[in-house]
Amino acid sequence: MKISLFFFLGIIFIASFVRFYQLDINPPGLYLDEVSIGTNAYDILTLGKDEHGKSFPIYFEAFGEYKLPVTIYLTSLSMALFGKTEFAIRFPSAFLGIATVALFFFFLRTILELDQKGFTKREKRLLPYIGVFLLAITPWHIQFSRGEFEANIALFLFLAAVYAFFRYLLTRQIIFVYLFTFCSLLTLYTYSTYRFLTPILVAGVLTYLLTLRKIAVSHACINFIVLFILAIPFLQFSFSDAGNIRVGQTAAFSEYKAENLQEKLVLYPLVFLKNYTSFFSPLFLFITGDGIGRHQVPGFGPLVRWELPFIIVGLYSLIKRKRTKLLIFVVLILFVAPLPAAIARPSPHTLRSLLLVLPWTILAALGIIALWNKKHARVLGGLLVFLFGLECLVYFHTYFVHYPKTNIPDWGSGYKQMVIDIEGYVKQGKKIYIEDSLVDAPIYFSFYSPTIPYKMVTNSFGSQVYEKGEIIWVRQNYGEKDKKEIIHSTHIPNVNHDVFSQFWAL
Amino acid sequence: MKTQIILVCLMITSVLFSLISFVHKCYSFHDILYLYKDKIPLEVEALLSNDLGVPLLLARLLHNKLLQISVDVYSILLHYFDPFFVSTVVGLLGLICFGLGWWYILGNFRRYGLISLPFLVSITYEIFFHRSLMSGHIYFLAFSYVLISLFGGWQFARFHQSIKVIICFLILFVISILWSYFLPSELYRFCIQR
Repeated sequence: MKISLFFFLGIIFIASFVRFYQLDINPPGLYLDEVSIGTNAYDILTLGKDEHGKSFPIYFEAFGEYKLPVTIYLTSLSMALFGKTEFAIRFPSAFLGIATVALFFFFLRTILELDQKGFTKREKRLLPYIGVFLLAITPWHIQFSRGEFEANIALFLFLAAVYAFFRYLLTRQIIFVYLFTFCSLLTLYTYSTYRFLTPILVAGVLTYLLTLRKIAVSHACINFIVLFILAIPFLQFSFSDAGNIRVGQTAAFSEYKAENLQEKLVLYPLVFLKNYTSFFSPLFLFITGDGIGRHQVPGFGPLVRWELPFIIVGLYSLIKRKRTKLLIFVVLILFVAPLPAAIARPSPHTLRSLLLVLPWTILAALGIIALWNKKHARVLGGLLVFLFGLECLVYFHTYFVHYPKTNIPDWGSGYKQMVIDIEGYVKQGKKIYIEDSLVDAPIYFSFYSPTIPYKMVTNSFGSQVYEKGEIIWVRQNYGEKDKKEIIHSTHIPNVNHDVFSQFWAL
Repeated sequence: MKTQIILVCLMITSVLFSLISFVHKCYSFHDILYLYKDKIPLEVEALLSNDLGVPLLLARLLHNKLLQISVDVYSILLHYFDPFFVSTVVGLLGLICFGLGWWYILGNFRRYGLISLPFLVSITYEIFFHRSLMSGHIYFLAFSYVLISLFGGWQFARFHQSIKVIICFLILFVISILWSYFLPSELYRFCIQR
């Protein structure tokens, strides 16, 4: 076996291990969107309808907004293979996460082949391996590969589209233009951020190909028309009220009060600029992340801290070279990727800006090579690589040992345990009443145990009950542990053994 | 030279606009901007508490005071480069020039490294000896930011003397003033205010 193939397979093995190991139990429990995707996917698989009874819909109604279809249909396929399990729900994202890592290798090789003068042979040989290794172990990409996040699936499709474009430039095989069109189209139906990014990509690519006469006008027209026709449902949806619900819910400007048009004209661009700047904050990238527990491991940012020196050196080394295609790609993605995320809140947001992981990884890989190329900087480079490796070890330890204990409230294992515990009481013939403070309970019931009869009630329910002896009232933790009515508690397996819900016998 | 002077004047005006507000309002920094040594053992203890079942040697290797200090110092250091902190001190135009300043300093450290000395001294003192410093430390820190910003702006103007650059700086100047005036100040995130 060639040594290069050995390295490549080794990296893919590492990527697969860190994405699949304990996938069903870590992150601890399915979070709300995952359960919603799982429920709809299972209904599609078994009944051909979504949870609201619509046959093979293009958009899935969930929690007052609409979900895009690609992830749900992919999850249906996964459920056909693995059954109605947590693993099946997370499999598409984890699998495409690994596919992204592999594709990133071929993408880097292609783009470097196109850059004939910018890089030495050695750099062209090393960069794809280092880049792909860094992506395989980057917290940002691992975090979103291990949960069913639409953004991660869209990232794969976007990279595939860009790869197809560069492959076409290299080989001039028209099949790659069609592949580009197909993948671009799928991104539109996968994650909302690409509503903004994909049109920019398609317009840019078509303009580039036509102005430099790298494609026949007929092929360009066919591609554009096909794309346009297949995007009609998307366009209809985007301009409908339903399509704009999520945009309205997360608009960044709603936080700021502007009295009149003049104020809006001044204030909104400033808010946008402020949000946009936040995506380049080293604090966000290396230390704090966006602060959402589902998006990061506590104490770690989306990128490894010791990647920063490599990124700085990589940026410097890339800019000092001639105008290369890699530089154009890195700069374009760096500046364009946060644009849609900057008009939403909260900002910065690691999920909406997941695409940024690619340019930062390329810069870090370039930085490692640049330091290695300078003999007097090798000791420093070696030390930084050691620190980087050490931090990765701490990260993986934290992810696999601490995270399942510390971040349960961000995920849904408490609800799952609650449903399992309730099943036992239902078998005893008890009536189940759930307090409405456990607001997400219905969606977890519909996934884990859809046949259980239950009723949602308010917190004053207990005082209204007259026929006692048959009822289990499931409440949040009220801390009244001495009360005789509390017959069972669902515990969270963290250090404090916290109570998630209490079962009151009435 | 004329372009340089125009650009530097714009920059000084913009920097002063933020700087006055910063040194006037900021009395001292929050904990996030200096190393609080007593906190380290507690942080290690908290991390170790989640390592039930992990071999003690491994747990100690991954969570110890030395590693925690390095992580904390690194995190605090990055706060001093946070765009919102820098823009609070020297404004938006100052922030861009601050970035340019570091670009030129790192590009030729032997020649320009000295310019970064006040900054390095200042943040080292802020991180490690903050509590023992007298009230003037804020002024010294602000001065070091201004120095790097002015250097960045000056160098940029030296190599890019054109009307386009002046227009760009002018636009940034206006945005910078509007930024300071309209957007809520980020000062509360970093400073104990007077």
